[in-house]
Amino acid sequence: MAWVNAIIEGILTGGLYALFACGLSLMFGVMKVVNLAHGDLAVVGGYIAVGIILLHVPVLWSVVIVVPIMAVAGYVLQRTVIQRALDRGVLTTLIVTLGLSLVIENALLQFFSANTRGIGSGMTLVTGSFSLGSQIQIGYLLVVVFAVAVAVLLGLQYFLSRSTYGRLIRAVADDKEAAQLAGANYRHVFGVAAGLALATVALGGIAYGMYIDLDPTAGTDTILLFAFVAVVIGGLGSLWGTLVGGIVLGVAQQIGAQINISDELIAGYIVFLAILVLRPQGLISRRAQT
Amino acid sequence: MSDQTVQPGGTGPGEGLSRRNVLRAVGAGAAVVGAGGLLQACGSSIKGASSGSTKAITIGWIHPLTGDLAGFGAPDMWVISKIKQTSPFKNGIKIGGKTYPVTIKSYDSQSSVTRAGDLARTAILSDNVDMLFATSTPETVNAVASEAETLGTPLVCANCPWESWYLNLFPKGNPTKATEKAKYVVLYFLGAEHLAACFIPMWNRIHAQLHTDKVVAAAFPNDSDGDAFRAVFPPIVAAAGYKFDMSAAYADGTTNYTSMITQFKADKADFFTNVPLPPDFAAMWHQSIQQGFRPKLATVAKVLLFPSDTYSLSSEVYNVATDTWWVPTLPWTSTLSGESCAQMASQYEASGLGQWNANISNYSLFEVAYAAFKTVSDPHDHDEVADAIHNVNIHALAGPLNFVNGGGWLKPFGPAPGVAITPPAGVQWQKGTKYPLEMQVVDNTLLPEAKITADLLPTNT
Repeated sequence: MAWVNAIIEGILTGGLYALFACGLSLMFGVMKVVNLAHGDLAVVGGYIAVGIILLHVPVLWSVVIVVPIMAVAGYVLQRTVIQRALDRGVLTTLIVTLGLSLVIENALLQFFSANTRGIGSGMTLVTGSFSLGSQIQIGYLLVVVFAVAVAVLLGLQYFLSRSTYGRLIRAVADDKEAAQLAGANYRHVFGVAAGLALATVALGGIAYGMYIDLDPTAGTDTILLFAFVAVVIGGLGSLWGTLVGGIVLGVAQQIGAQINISDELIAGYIVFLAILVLRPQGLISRRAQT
Repeated sequence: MSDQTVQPGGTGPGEGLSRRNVLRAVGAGAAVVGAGGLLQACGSSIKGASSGSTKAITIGWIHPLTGDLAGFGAPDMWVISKIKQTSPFKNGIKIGGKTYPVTIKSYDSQSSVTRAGDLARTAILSDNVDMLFATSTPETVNAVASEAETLGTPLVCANCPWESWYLNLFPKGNPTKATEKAKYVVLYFLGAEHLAACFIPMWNRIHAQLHTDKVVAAAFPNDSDGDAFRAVFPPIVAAAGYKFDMSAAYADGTTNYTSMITQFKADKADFFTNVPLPPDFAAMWHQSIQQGFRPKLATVAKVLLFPSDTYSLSSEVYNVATDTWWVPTLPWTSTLSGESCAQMASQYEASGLGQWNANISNYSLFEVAYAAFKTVSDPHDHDEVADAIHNVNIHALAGPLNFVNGGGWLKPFGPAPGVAITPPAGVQWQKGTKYPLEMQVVDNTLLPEAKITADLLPTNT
């Protein structure tokens, strides 16, 4: 039964990883930007929530405030910094987002110090759980995070495939010059996509602050790394692939931990390497999806 | 970066404001001391003092003020401001008819092992410190101790279990036959065996009340504290009649503890002990509650030592027990000012920094330094000062500190040369009246001088 418990825990953790990964995948899919500052932006979202909660705003309402803030920040960031880098080539974007990551991390250290901060400690949502049978205990938090991840992916998919604006985003992603000839302002469209990406990762950052604790280096040490692994396992540019990738990573880690708790991380990376070797396009490749 | 001013280290807005004020005050104090030094220097040159210069004594203190271990360093800047009001550190230390002004430099390790080592090199090689202090967990102390011993600078350490410290300096050493002597480094604190001996009476009392299965779950990480605890705890715990259920050695920073919690539940553990980094404990304890692992008594080490650690976990840590090496009821006094533990604690609280905490005892680092410096002929001679710190034997604010053969050893351990033992009392975080959680002394087997302030309560019933 311990194994069943571990696997359930792994699947649910996959939801958290999907929240980290789907924005990364979206930005890559639409504008071919590999955003190395993605994890740090998640941490920024988490810290904004910490700040808002200090003003006595209820924890869950902080989500309602942080997500739009990060969406706007994403749009502005794309239109100012990332777009300019993009105009100069792919390598420049890599370097610029890496620089952005360093700047954010050090700014957080400067303003918030290296102290860790949690979100919502003591809340039933964070510490509560329910049991299935006598052996299996499932925390509310991971269930909620998983449900949020699925809702976010469903929403994104509906938006991209059904709405007019979503069709525009896909058109720009396929061929931005052609879309521009047809009258689309691709820079604006890129900005909207970046806004969406940051809105999702802000949710990831807040969930991380509730599940573990936030500190300024969590962005690159943990979030970005897990996001990349989930994206690669699932398939570059595929939205549902991020959830599949997250679940595979989460389950691998939990099975590793069940063998020996110090094998948790290495088990995840072994699966990651195996997939790179056996199925480099990822479990759900983009081609297979369309 | 390496001067009196420290990284802006505010935490919450309210707390941060007061802390900044303290930092500012400390900075001003440092300036005054510096100016005093200048005047002193002028004075001696006007007199045409031919007996050589009285170059200021520089003391460097490497400690975690921010990061995972920030709770350990919380009182440190207050301690420095307090020390600067005492005569030797305000007016200078008199050595052989000359008065040496003192400069105190604070270095924030940011709770990083590599940074602690780098800062030790900076302090020794660039800032030419005459003595170093390193405090708060092996993550800060060990790297500094290695550098100080290699580069030949006197170092006083505190708040690091002595086995972790000893095995770092002497990897082939054996704590039960601790005969190796570091030339430049001394330490005052307790050891893993003291924690075991402190926790066992508390387990016994809960067992007598609730009739447990006498199974103790232990989560020890894969770091120097974890290694020391894995070696020291099992025989002591077995001798006391408990079954010891250890988890595998997990890596610091592990985020998911489900597998070890499942193991503890399956083995029906009634007691829980550990030695984690504070953030790891938060994740571990959240998940224990989620997974329904509710030990009848949790006795933790290295975490929940300070009020700031407990606030973020709030009601989740009611009646979790731990150890402490200093409480305000202890009968000790400062050798520098004669102030008592109770006075120190109330002044600390009056300064707006929140609840008193055990690291106010870091004050004694300076008492050791003063006791050593006043016996030497040249405070800038590292070898002479190193010999002097090994011979310190004082009744300080932290308790009796005897580095020659330092008191309170539990057989078969120690005594290790250059280690003074300050034994712990068993304490428990109980729901408070003035503060949300208050540390109550519930067991004083090893430290009878500490007054019992509350009954031991089960963590979960």
